[in-house]
Amino acid sequence: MPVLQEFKCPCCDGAIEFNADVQKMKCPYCDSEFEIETLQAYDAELNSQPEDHMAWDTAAGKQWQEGETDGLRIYCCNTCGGEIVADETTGATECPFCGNPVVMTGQFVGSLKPDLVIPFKHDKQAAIAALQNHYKGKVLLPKVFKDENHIKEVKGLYVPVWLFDTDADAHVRYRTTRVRHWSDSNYRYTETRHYSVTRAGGIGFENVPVDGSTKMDDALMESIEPFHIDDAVDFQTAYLSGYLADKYDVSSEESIDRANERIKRSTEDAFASTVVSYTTVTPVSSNIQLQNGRARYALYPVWILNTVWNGQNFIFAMNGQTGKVAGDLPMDKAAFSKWLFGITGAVSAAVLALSYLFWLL
Amino acid sequence: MKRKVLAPLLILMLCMSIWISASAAQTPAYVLDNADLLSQSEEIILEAKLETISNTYNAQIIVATINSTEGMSADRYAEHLYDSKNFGFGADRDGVMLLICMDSRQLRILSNGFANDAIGSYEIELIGDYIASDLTDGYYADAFDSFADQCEYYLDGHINGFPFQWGQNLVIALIIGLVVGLVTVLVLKAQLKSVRRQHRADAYVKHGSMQVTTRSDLYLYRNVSRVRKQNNSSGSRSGGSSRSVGGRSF
Repeated sequence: MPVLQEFKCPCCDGAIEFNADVQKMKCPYCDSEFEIETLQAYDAELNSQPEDHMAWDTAAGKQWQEGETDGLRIYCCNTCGGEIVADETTGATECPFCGNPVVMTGQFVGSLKPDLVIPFKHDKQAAIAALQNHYKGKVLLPKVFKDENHIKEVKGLYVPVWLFDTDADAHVRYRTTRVRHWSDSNYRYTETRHYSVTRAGGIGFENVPVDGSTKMDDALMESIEPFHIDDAVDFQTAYLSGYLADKYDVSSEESIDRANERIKRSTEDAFASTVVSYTTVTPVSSNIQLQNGRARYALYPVWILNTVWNGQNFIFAMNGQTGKVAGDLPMDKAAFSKWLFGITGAVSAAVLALSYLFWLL
Repeated sequence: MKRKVLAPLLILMLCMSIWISASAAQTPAYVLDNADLLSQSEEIILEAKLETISNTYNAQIIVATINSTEGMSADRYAEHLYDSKNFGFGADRDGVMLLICMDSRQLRILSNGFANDAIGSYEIELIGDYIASDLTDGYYADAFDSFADQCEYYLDGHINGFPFQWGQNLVIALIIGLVVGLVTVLVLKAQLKSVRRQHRADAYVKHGSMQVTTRSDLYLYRNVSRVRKQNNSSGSRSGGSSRSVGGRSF
């Protein structure tokens, strides 16, 4: 059975978790606060003690059938002994029996260990408040959705992300035109001058993120960008305590194409912005060569909020670092018609009245 | 003594009768159908209509048809005819004349004096377009009747103001309202969608890392196209600011 890690409070022995407000480990039972390094050392000291050996041979219970446990991992809660059945990519969760936060340390060892983690800066209440704020000012949002909307689930999740650094060498060619008009007594003339314009040079990118989890919708994850890497710290499992976490199931090699798409587009745009004083600019060819490319593995903090309305599931995400919220909302068709006909009527009446006033003057 | 009084009276009456008959001979003409496009009855009806409109607005409305411009341009002939026949009312010779040239199938409209304020180049173009199809189809009486109506419309509008076009303005207002309404609700609908893929990585460009090492702007070739200015339907002013002549073919 894989290894679980729980961080215990040195004061009361309660399960302790990372607190986003104080950026320390904080015991929810006795409110004691600890530096992460202190707890790591304390935990190592506890683990150095030899364990009791009391072996039992019990054949009770049925064995899992072959293939039945594919994609599943079974853990044992260190606090209550309950069996935790989790997905093969789950890296942190909570015990379904005692509710204590647990971290599957085996998911983050060796080559699977993330290079960086951005700790949560916003807590659950902030996520709920941000969602309510997300509803504001949306006049086509059904009123009952706001009033009757019950958030079904709020999860703090560390999403595995690949960060790509690279230097791009670009060689871009454009066909451009300059157009001039003039006329004499009989004809109107249009002169079009054609040019071949070339721009070449270099541009650097750092920490271009690509979602490394198939469970997380890529569009939703990109909608809450950017994450600021300045707040990132070296990975320690303690940061995961109290939150959910997944290890990546999309490799860095598989993520490269997505990073390339974004880098290529931005490179072309950056060099196109240097082609000025032309009437039209049409890219003909672009050659982008990436050098010094490297990928790093990081965990980004995201609050996921689920809500159900009219039998439809709505998922929202909040950037756990910046508080930016994204998630599509339903539309009130009756309100759409009401606003369309209302504005059409009001504007038409105003235009008619104005034209009548001008006629009177 | 009695004969001495009667003689000058008789002379005066004679002079008056001569003057009245001379005046009758100079009764303004409204229809000059040299190309013989109208029947006798059509000519009488048109004459009466043009006279009524002319007297109402103090501007002589004339319809003239000719077979040939005698080597002159249609514009020039229109001015020549208007001046040689001394058309127009009052010192400024206020009037509007429609000239139909059958050899070149051209129509010309000339407005003079006060009438030029009401029917300028733009209105001449509109009237020309309005009656051209009837002329093309050979419905000359209908075309001249429409010309008279159009002159009355613009002269009356100039003097008394044009009537407010409720139907036309309502349609325009509804179109503007619908466009504004649609744009507004589509913007409001777009507010509900916030999940979008990012197509660029602009936020992750290393600050100050961009360097352009090659800048080449190579001139290849040029081409020039020309379009002849349209003069098929033209309006021109001549004789100072009090006259406009324009027209088109039919």
